[in-house]
Amino acid sequence: MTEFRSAAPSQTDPRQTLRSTPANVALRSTDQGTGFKSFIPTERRFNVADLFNFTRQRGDLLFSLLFLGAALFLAVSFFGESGWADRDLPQKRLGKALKQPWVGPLIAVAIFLPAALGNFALSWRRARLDRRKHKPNKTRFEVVQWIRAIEFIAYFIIYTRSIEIIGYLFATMIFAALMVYRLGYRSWRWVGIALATSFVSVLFFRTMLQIKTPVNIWLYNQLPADLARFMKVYF
Amino acid sequence: MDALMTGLQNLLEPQVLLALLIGSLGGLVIGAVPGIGPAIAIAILLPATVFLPDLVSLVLLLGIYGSSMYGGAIPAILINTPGTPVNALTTYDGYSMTRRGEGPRALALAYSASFYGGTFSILTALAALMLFGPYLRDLGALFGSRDIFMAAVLGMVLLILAHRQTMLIAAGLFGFGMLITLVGRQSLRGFERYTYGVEELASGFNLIVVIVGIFALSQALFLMVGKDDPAKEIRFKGGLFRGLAELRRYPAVTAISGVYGTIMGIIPGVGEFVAQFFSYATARSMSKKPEQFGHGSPEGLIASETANNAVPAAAMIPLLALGVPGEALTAMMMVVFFDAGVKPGPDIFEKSPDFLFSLFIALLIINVLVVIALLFSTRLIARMIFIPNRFLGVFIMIFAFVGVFSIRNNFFDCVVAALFGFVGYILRRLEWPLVPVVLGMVLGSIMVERLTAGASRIKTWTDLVDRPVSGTLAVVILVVIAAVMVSMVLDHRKKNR
Repeated sequence: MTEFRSAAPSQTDPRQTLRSTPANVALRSTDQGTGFKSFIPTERRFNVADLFNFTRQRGDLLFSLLFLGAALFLAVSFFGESGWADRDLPQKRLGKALKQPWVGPLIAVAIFLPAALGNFALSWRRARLDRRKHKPNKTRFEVVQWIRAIEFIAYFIIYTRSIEIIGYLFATMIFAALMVYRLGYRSWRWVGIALATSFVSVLFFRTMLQIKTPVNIWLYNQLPADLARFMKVYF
Repeated sequence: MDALMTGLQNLLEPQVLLALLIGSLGGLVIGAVPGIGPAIAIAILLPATVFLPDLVSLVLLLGIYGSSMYGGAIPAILINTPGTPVNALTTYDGYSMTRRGEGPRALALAYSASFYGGTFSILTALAALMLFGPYLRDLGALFGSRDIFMAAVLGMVLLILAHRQTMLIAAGLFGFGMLITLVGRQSLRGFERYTYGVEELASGFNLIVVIVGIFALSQALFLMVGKDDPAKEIRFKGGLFRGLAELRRYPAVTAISGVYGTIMGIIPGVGEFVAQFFSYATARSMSKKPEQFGHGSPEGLIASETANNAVPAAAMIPLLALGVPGEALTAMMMVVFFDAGVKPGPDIFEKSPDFLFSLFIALLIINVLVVIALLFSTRLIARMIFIPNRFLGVFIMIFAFVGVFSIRNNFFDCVVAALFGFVGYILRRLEWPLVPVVLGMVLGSIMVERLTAGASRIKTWTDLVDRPVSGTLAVVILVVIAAVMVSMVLDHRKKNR
């Protein structure tokens, strides 16, 4: 039976003990028949240069195309939506022209469109290089991830709409509990924590800070007048 | 001196003191929980500040801004997960120290280095205010609309150039943000821009609604669609007090990092990442044990934590002096200034110097409060690291609703926020920067507003740069662009060699 753990980290070169390569993970395990359990989590190193590095992710080309599309659409709309049609371009006084409503959009489009075009070109070049290297194209996977977010946006819209029907307090508590359940925290403990946290957040924002929430609430209108007033003011 | 005393008195109001306490402690917790971060917390709290007095609001937000990086060091050191993005470099040496059983030492060093960085930049700003205050009051007369327009252009240029590898993306998003802010009825002539006949768009997009969408809702979606981090174990034994004094053993690294953080904070668009990078690289080149950097070097930890905590106070300087925010958090604070009817810019030195002193003294108090709180509650705060990501996402979404709806009691704003949340979510997944959108909205509106205001004095293009300040700023812009282009060409040649 060999015990590999005998060498204490402090007695060895720290650089050798710090890296969690599979080799020294093995050195830390015991042969007692139980599974390996680390003392502290394995090291995930950050590289200083990584803080500034940018690599184009899957789906970048598609989004760059959409970005360019948006820029083109806004640039084309410039002629009808910025006041350009009623322009007055005096020859002598530039300042008179600068006061007109189309100046701001012109500056914005002049920044947006060339940048979007240049970015698309770079993204296209990157995609071509990847194709040449036979790197797998996972755009479809990425689009699925984007679509998955739409489900939660729909829940958010339903939540905001339901506040006008059942009030901020009940809508928030029900939304929190259902969302937590939907995300897979299905024990009573998590649902309970969600209910308690949502109740406290309503107390903080609505009761204490008196943040504005919808007031004409169908459920509160069914309550006796005094209770309805109380609920409308505090919840 | 009178302004200093009045500024101090302003802070003694019970409401302000409470905001100081809540902001500082809240920021600590927010920083310690990976997945939230100060930008999201401030985005959520922005609408609440509309209902609070201006100093209370700013102190609350400053508390979160100033203390979150302290909190972010806890998970960075204990579980190798930065609490806020700017704590990423702290993991490099802090976590290595934890692995060799020096977690408390690393935490104590991080706290003392952060405290030094924070107080250094605050005291520098306060000293500058006291020494140059009388002269700064005359600064207002030097700054006309064209000068502030040029300062905003400089802010835009620095922001774009700071995104060295994503310059085109940053520029595109800046232009996009600028266009967003121009949607709606123009105040001067009443022309409706980019409304496409939609009635709700006539009043334009609210800046806070877009900020909540692009920062908070997008993060909520990102967390909910993603997976929870695997459970990690924390080993934490020993006290923190002994390690605090250790900072004195590294005076050179501490001093240089403080200076870097302050200078980089002052330059709009640069911020914590670049400050840390320079400090870390310099500390490494100065060190007698450079080989230890990245493997648990106390100097590395000190360099990164001192530099990033020196930035918040320094970042307030361009915001207050020129009315030009350098990054997302100061842009959000600008919104509070707008709501309070206080226009940051050179005039502020003349009109409300006490207000300036209040802000910087508040930051000083926040730093003291935070260190005291951390010495006694690190273990408690460390437990919050383990709130599951997706669970957190649900509550960010709930808080986001409050933020969005309370601004104008408008359901349309919720839809707008959801839309921007979705766009922000995709940007996050693609690792595109979010900050240019917000700065495009803030700086873009300043640019257009000031250009329009100064238009009557502009006959030709040269009139834009014929004033001392605007001319100097134009030269600075050209020099900065030329310097970056030269360095890019040199980098390219080096790569191709």
